This record gives sequence, structure tokens and C-alpha cells, in this order.
Amino acid sequence: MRESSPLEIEVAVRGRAVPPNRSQRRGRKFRKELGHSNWSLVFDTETTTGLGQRLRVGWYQLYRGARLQKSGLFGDRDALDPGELALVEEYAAERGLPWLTRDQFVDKVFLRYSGKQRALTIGANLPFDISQVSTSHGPAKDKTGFMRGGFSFGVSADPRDPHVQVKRLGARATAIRLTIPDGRSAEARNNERGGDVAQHRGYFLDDLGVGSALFGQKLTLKALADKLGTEHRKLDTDEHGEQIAREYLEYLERDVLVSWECAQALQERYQRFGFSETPITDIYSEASIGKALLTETGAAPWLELQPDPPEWLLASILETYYGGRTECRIRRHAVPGAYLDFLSQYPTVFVLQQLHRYLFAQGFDWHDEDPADLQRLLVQIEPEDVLDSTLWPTLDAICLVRPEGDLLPTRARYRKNQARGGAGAYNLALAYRHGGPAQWWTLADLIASVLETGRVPTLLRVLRFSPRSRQQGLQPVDLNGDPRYRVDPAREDLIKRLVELRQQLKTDAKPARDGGENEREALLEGLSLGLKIEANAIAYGTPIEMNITEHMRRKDLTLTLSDDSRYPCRSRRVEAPGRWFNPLIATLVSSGGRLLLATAISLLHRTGSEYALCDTDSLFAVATKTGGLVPCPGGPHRLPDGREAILALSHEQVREELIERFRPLNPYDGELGSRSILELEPENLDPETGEQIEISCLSLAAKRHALYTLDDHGHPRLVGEAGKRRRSEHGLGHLLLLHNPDQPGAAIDEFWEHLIATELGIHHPEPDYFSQPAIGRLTVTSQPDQNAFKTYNDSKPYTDQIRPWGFVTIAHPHPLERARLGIRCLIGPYSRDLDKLATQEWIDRGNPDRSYRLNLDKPYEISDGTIGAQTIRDYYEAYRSHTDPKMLGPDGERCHPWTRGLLQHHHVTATGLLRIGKESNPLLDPNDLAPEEPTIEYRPRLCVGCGDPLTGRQEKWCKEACRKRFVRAHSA
Amino acid sequence: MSGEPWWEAEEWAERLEEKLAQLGTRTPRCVAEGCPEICPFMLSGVDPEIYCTEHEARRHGRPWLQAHHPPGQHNDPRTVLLPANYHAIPSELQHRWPRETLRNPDGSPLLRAAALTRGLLDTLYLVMVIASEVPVLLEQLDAFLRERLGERWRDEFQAWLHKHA
Repeated sequence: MRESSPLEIEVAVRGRAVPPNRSQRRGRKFRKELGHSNWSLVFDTETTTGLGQRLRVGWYQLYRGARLQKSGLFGDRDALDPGELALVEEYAAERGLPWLTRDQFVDKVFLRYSGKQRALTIGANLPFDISQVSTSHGPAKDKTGFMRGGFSFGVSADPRDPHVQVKRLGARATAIRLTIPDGRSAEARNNERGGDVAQHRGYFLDDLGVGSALFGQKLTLKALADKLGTEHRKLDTDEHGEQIAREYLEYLERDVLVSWECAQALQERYQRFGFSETPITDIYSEASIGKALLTETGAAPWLELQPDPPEWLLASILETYYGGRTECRIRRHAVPGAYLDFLSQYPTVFVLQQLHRYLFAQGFDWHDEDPADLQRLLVQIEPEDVLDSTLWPTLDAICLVRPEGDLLPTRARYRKNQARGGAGAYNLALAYRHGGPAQWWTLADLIASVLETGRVPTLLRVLRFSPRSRQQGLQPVDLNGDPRYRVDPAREDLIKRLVELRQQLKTDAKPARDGGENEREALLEGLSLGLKIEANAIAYGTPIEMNITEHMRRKDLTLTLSDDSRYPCRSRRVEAPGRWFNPLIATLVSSGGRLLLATAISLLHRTGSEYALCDTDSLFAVATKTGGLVPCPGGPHRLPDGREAILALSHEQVREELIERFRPLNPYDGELGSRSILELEPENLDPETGEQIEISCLSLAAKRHALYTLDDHGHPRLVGEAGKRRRSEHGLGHLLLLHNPDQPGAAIDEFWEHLIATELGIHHPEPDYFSQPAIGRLTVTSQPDQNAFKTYNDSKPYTDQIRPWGFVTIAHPHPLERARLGIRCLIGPYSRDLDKLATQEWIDRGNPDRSYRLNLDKPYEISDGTIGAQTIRDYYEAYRSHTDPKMLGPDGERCHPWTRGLLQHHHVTATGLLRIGKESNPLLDPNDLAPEEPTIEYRPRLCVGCGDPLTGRQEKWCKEACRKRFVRAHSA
Repeated sequence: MSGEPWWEAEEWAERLEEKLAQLGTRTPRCVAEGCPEICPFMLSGVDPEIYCTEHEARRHGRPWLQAHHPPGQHNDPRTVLLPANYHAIPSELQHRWPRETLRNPDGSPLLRAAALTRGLLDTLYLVMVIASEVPVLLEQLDAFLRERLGERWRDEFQAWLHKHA
């Protein structure tokens, strides 16, 4: 093993740049929502299966309260053939249902009920259905900026009618609103007379969005109905896009009915939380539930209590903020071990640090502390100190450090040859920092560094925080209206109570389950899941919430650095903190999580052992039943045969040296309080005997790993229950072939088992689907996605265009074909039929006049009208050789596809600190989809000549004299 | 009039939503002490300062009776006096009339006759609304007296009547 010379690289830290008129924007009045009426409109649409999914027929139902009042069919008569049209007309006449055109549906149903009568509009994947009834779309405009970056759908020819704005907020969250039509509204009259009613923006409930938030996972309508136990379930059909038959219309009606029943069940489930201040239509994600609970407690957000914190302070705190630590430590080399996980890591860290003092305080103060005092503490720090809970409340400090070989979180573009136009690709890794500018880190990160390196950092400045007195007017909340499930932030630690209550609910659910009380069991489990979501959202999600506003043009911003220097910069995307933004809590929680992990790793290293991977709150410790050396390239030990090796712990040592050591840190009371906060995952245990079994881990890169055992035939079998096998899905999620709704995850399990067998050199038959094309699904949810189809759409009428929230399939030409034809991406109609996908016509996204069939068998042969496409096998090979840019190989060089063994941390010298905004996750293959918006970079706008800040329209030079001087100097 | 009851008519529901938005609450109620009025059309102001039309009139020293033109003022200038709160009901109902009938710009006798008929039906409806409260009240009063005085209440009531006759 040799140490590499430091990598000279620009390091990125979180920063915040604000528009000059920020103070004017503050103080926006939060107006009262009138709420929806007792009408509900539920509708669903079915479309053609072409690229431009055109509306064929839709079904709507109108409910008043829980009673069905009206239902009917609507559709685009031109998209139906005469036979289908006659069938639909006959069906509607038989059932006595109106058969409306799209325009009639919009005018008489959608705008009348969703608009004028304030009905609750319900659907499954509502944005898609809204796009189907639209007649135009464009970028959403919004004075508040909330909907910017989304789409505005025109649904009516009458300019006085509202548009419908739809914006994707996150992976599973979408906001839908009506625009405010011209004219003086009733709400405006109310406001003129001194009222505070908010403008009517519609009330939309997307079952899939709210369902995902309440269950904490992505769900289809079928899965949601199963989870909620609705009376009716979604019917199966293979007839999408086929000739419309009566059964298909019944299927459509059933979909609407199931959507309605799901909405009813979701509302009932949501009511159990007892949130009177937050309607279900404001629930977009798990974080919304946390925010709703905070609102309910009567707590005031930090930014309302301390509306103008010094910008330098915010800059310093944000500079210390990083996400979870994820690493691949042993690459492409299978090792046996134990998979360990921290109990509710972020909530636990929140409780250990007593951060409720900050959450419910009237703000916080800060003062400088003598760096020498803290340095003395760091000199003596040992893992035992971290395992003493009295240390944790004292971690509320951040330090300015001059790094000299310290192992600290470092965000940078580690991957070489970034040819992505500057998009994304900032990776967070622990790196040995040498020199470069001084930088702020939290005290927890410094302790973690000392534990792992034994070296005490040089502190230049220490800022210690202290909470102000507790807020007045905090109220208890009875979950499900039950005083037994009361949380009282004025008397207790809210997060601690939520975690303990969750355990109590689990305990309460057991007798209900044993006694066959299914309804009560479902109720308690629903509440338990809700508590988990709330605890995580409050402890970690909401404090760092940043909402991005997309502007058409770059905005002038002012960037403040931690030394209070200010620079102008520009960005088209501007961040605004969420309502419960509190960066201090966010950074203390995330750094506390990293400290827990670092402590476990430090304990492991003290025993001479290693870990194969770690991922935020879990790690895989190398261990065997009896312990001893196991081969591992790059390991510090040698086996008798001369191979490099690492020391594995025995299973008993895992319990004694790791798990038991964390027991004193458990901050909980009751049943939960008797456990260690570091636990063996159930996959380590024999389901019958409960004894620890030997499992192995294969990791390719951070977040790409699998845990397995070998079966009697010596074949790898992933551990974990069916559907929840322990393997990562990172980088595979978008491949359609790997998603069989009947056996969720089974194809990815097979993918991983084949990969493990290949790595182990075991003969393993290739999965059948490997020769199928690697086809992904793209849902158009952003302006860049939509713009990517501009060429295709230009020549089409609106109904045949690829519209927002439409979805298409995407295939990738073989690299040789890409080089020959210059085609980067092929698009085709969406279908679940794999044979159809392989044989259908695909068009070049950049030149829609050219269409091809996929040539999968002989991609090297050139024949007219066909194109060699990448198969799952190609994808598999690329996946298998994916490198880990964050780490160095055992030889101290960058990771190559063939790098195996014990990886090392980078050595980094920062050439400068770049301030960035909220990170966006770049897609793995830029050719797959339209590239996502890159991470916001706040680069100071400085004169190239003299370095003074630029103002106004100045782009490069602050004055002509500077330009001339510069040119003269360089020409000389 | 259309086949569906007026209170389920879509225009009515739209006007109701507009009225609620104007008041600023879904559960409006007159804040005057002891006033049970909750019908949004009989209320004005913005939440929480909401008064029924009668209490609003009293606050401003105006009469609590208002003049109503049952067939619309263009069809017949004669008026009847109605309590201000109840005036809101026929006024709202008139909004559902065909505009031609209500305005009758050409003075058509047939439209005038139609307006008179509609006005009469609306008035009957108003009577129905007011009268519909009476049986409910009597039934509640009967239950109350039985609970307080038992089955003897009628004898005691007769005795009371006799004493005060």
C-alpha cells in the first residue's frame, strides 16, 4: 500500500446566495384556506399507446359527501375508430351516462366542480390525467415562485378560465394548483373588507403522491388499494391501447372507483394524526407530515423568531453541512461479516444532542470559545468518550480548521474527465485534507477525524451555540385523538417521545395481530409508520428544506461568505429556505450520524478489523464465526500462502466489541431503552434458531452492494425476505425489464446473484433477459425533459405531441452505432409488452424523421433500418465495472474498473472553496434521459483584471481600463 | 324551473361557494349574541365579524324589514315586507330565473305572468322554509316537557291556561 500525493481539486461547500430584495419578500402573509366543498370529482383517462399519448376515453364520478351523484364518460371522438365510437355511445346510452367531448368535460365538469364549486379533485397520477384534458401548455409562472419550473396547462379556450399548474417537487411529490383567473374574485372582496382568505387554487388529491407520503414508499394504485384494504381492487388488463371493448370501459370505471375508495381511506388514515391545521391536500411528501405535526404543536419556526440571522453565520453553518457517509471500503472482493444498523439513527442523534432545546427555543445565540480549550478536549478524546452520552449535548459547536492531514468530509468532483457540461457529480467522501483554505466543520466531524486518524486538527476559531428560552404556547397533540398517544413538546423531547411511542404502538399491535383484530392492527401499524416518518422528517428533513425557484433568466444574487465578505453572483435557479429551515439542527444531526458511524469504525479498527461498506446508518463489519484472517487484496496481513488479508472479528467479538459498547448511548426509556442502538440486522440471524449465520458482502462502489449466502450447490443467494432482499437498486431502478409487477425486485435479485457468481468465479447461467434491450422509462416532468422533445413535437398537432407527464420508453444505441450514426438516444412508445418493445419502431430523439428497429442479436452488423442497441448484458457489464471515484485503490491510484480489495481515502488539497446550493443527483448515464438541472454553483462574479466585484451588466471586466491593462499584460 | 331541487342546482352551489369565500369561512354564523343564523346568504361581513342581515341593519339603525318584489321590480312595482334575513331566500331564488323573465325589457305580458307565477312559487317555498321550522320546534318542545314534567305536563299546562285565561 502506498500513499498517493494529494489531489489538488476545488472543494464544494453548501452556501446560500440571496436576491437583493430578499427582505422585501419576507413577511409574506400566510392566508387562511377556505378548504374544499363537500363535492369530489374523481376522474381517470385512457390514451393511445403512441409516443404522443392521445386521450381516447375517460371516466368521471362526482360525489357529494360519500354519495355518488353523477358519473359519465368523456373522450376524444377523433381518437376512436367508428366501431369504438359506436360501442362507447351504446354503452353510455345503456347505462344512462352522459358521453361528453373533452371540451364539454372541461367546461361542465372540471372547471365547474374543481373550479367554481371547490370540489376535491381526486385521481391516481393526476398530473397525467390533467395533461390529457389540456389543450396547451407552457412554463408555469407564479409571483411567489413556488410553481416556477413546473408547467401550466391550458384546459379551456376561454381566457377567463383558470389554467392548471403542475410542478414536480420531488421523487414522489407533485404540486397541482389552479391559476387565479382575471376579474375580482370573492376572495379579493373578502380581503378588501379585512378578511384573510387565500385565493382559490383548487384542491387536488393525487392518491399516489399522498399514499407514498403516508406509507413512505412509492406505490402503484393496485398496491395502494391492497395496503389500504379498499372494498374494490384494481382490475388487471392487457388491453391498453387495444380496441376498446366493454370490459375495458368497466376496467376504467373500476379504476375511478378504486381511486375514490383509496382517497377516502387515505383521508381517514390522515385524520388519525389529528392535524387540524394542515389539510391532506397540502401533503406532498413525508416531510409534509413532519411539518404538519410541528404546526400542530403551536411551535414557531426559527426564521420567524430570528428573521434576520447574520448572513456570515448562516454561511458558516451551511459550510459544515453534509449528508450521510456512504462508502465502499472493500471493492469487488467478497468478504464474510455482520450487517449492523443504528436504531433510528437521525432521531437518536437528535435526542442524544438534546436538540429539542433548539427546535422549540425562541432562537439561539452564539459566542466565540477559546480554540485551545477545545483542542485540549480533542487531544484526549477516545471512542469511550463518544460512547458516554454526556458528551453529546456539548457537540453544538462549529470550528474553523486549518486542515493538515485530517480525515474530514469533503465534497468535490472526484471523477476524472467530467464531460457533462458541468452537470452534477459532486461526491461526498471522507478525505485526508492537506493545506488549502481554512474551512468550517462541526465539532462532531472533528471528533470523528481524531478517532480515525489520532491527529488533532488545528482550530482557528470556535463558535459555540446556545438555545434561548423555550417558546411559549406549545400545545400537546393527541395522535388519533387518543390521550395515550399524546406528545407534549412543552414537557418532553418530542422526537424521543415519537420513537418510544412507535415502539409502544408496535407492542400494542401484537395482541391485536394475535387476536385477529385486523382493523386495530392496521390502525396501530399505520400510526406507527406515521410516527417513524414524523420523527425522521422533524429530526432531519425539514430543518434543511430548501425550495428551488426556477427563473427564465439568471438572477443577480449576493453571496455572503463565512468571513462576512460579499460577492455578486448569478443563477437561474434561486433557493429559498423552507418554513422550518434550521441549518444548525440539520448540520448537528447529520454530523452526529457520521460520528456514530465513525465511532463504530474506530472500534472496529482498534480490534484490527475492517468494514466492507458503510451507508449512513449501517455498516458491514468483516467477521466470521470464529474470527481470524480472511483474504483481501490490499489488506495489512498475510495468509500463509502469501495472499494479503484482513482480520475478521468473531461473531462474539461483534457483539462484545461493537454492539454492546453502544448500549450506554441508548437515550430511550421503556422497552426500547434496554437495547443497544447498534443492532444486528435480522438477515444475520437464522430465522428458525435465531443464531447468527455467516453472510457475505460484495460491494462495487458506494451504494452498490449485495449481501448473500451460498446455497447447497455453492450458488449465491441474496439474504432477506422475498421482495426485500439485501441488495442495492441504485443505478438499476429505471430499467423496465427489471421490474416485473408480479414479482417485484425478482429480476434485480437475479441480476445481483449472477453478478456475485461471476465475481466469485462460479459458473452461473445468465438470466434470460440479458439479451433484451436495456429500455428505460422517462416521464416528462421538467422543462429540460420537455425541451428534449421539441424537434419531435414541432411537426405534430398538440394532441399527438409528447406532453408533460407523458411517458415514453428510451433505448440506447450500442457505442459503435453511436459513433457511426451519432445517435445518442432512441425513443419509443411506452408499453409493458417486452416483445413489442423489442420489435417496435424507435425514433432518433434528435431527428424524429429517422426511425429504426432494434438489432439485438448482431449489433456489429450494419443493416438499413436497424440499429444495434445496448442490451441488459451491456448494462450489466458497465454496472459491474462501475468505478468508485470517491476512493483510491489499494495501490493508491484512482479506482479502475478492475480495482479490487481494500480501498483508501483520497488525500486532497483544496484549491478553493466553491459555494453550491442544494445538490441534485445527476443521472448515471447522461444519454439515458434529458440531463437534469445541475447543482447550483454560486461563483462570485469578479473582474478578470483586478478581481473587484462586478456589478449590473458587467460580464467580465469592471472597467475598460482593466480589460486593456489585462490584454497589454498578456500580449507582452 | 329545472327538474332538480333548487338547493342542488349547480348555480346555487357555485353561488354558495362564492358567498362562503366572501365571508371567509365554511362555517359562518352571526356573532350577535343569541342569534342562531347560519345561512350564508343571510350573513354579511368577513370572518370573524359576521352579522346576519337583520342584526347588521339594527347595528346601523336601519329597519329590519325589507321590501321584496316577488315577481321582480320590472314586472310589478308592488312590494311585500319581509324580515331581512328571509329576504335573502327569494332574492337568491330570483337569480335562478331566466334573465329575460326577471328583467322583461319589452314588457311582455306572458313573461310578466311567468314572473308572477315564479314569484308565487318562491313565496310558497319561503313559507315552506319558515313553516318547516315549526313542527321540528314543536316536537322538540314536546320531548323537552316530557323530560322535565313527565306525562302530566298537559294537565299542568291546561291548569296554567285556565289560571291565565
